[in-house]
Amino acid sequence: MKIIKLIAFVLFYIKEVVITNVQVAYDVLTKKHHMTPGFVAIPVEGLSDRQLLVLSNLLTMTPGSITIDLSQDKQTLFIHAMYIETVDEVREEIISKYVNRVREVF
Amino acid sequence: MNLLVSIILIIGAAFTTIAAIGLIRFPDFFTRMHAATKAGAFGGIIILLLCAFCFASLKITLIVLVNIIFFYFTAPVAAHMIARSAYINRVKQWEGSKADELKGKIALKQHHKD
Amino acid sequence: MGELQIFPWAIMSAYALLISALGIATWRLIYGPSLFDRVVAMDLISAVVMCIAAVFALETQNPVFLEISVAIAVVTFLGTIAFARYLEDEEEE
Repeated sequence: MKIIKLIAFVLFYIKEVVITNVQVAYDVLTKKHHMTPGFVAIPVEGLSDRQLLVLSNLLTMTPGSITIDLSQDKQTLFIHAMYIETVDEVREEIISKYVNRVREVF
Repeated sequence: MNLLVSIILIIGAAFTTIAAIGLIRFPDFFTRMHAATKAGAFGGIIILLLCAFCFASLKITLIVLVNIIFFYFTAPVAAHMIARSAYINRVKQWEGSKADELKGKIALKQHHKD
Repeated sequence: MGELQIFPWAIMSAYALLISALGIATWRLIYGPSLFDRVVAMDLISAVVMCIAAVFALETQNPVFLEISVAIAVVTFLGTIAFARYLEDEEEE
């Protein structure tokens, strides 16, 4: 069961990486800057150290976000996101897309 | 067959070039970082996988896999450390930036450093 | 006939793209407004050199050149980490 979830996650992740890379490439090649960058705090209560490592590495390799810092008590992850409509939207998206899946799979 | 390999090769090279153009065009350090570390790594990984596919031997595939796994573990660490160090040293952010929830959470250095 | 000749052209255009990427990154390395831009430019240059080594391996059909890219990946990682630590811990005047 866990194997199936892992494979599903890997496929999802590859799709995500390709899509976001194309998005950044589009942003590079068109004249106007579409990005609205900013720093966002993501709550990550209850993740083990291994899950945090996987999560921050995966988040950095998708071209919408870079992990900047982890708070001392390991409760909050600070990322630099590239496309922000509103901060809460980004937070929701990352929690539902990545944090929950990482919590399940790894 | 040849055509497919050629097209994928050019796509990989093009992604690396796009990363370099992004390094020139993007407005501040953190967005440049987005372009450079990830689009560059993506192009490199495409070309390396293409090599594994073309040579079609077990040894080469292993070398390529080791390379890609190593890259995927180290590139985020390097990006994270250099970005954090930049934030601590008060590198300027673009005026179009929308949010800064990190403010006050890290001890910054006193002087702006170039 | 056409199929036979397309591969050398693809190799040549890949070289052209990668070398222009090298040039552009060098511009950022020289004129970068802050030290951190320069470090990121170095990082990208090493990624481009990795790609060039891989394309060279494809061109010559000699897989030995792939091992260059492993070595470059190791060295660059350590270099970037060293720069980050150094810039972070530097004593203030």
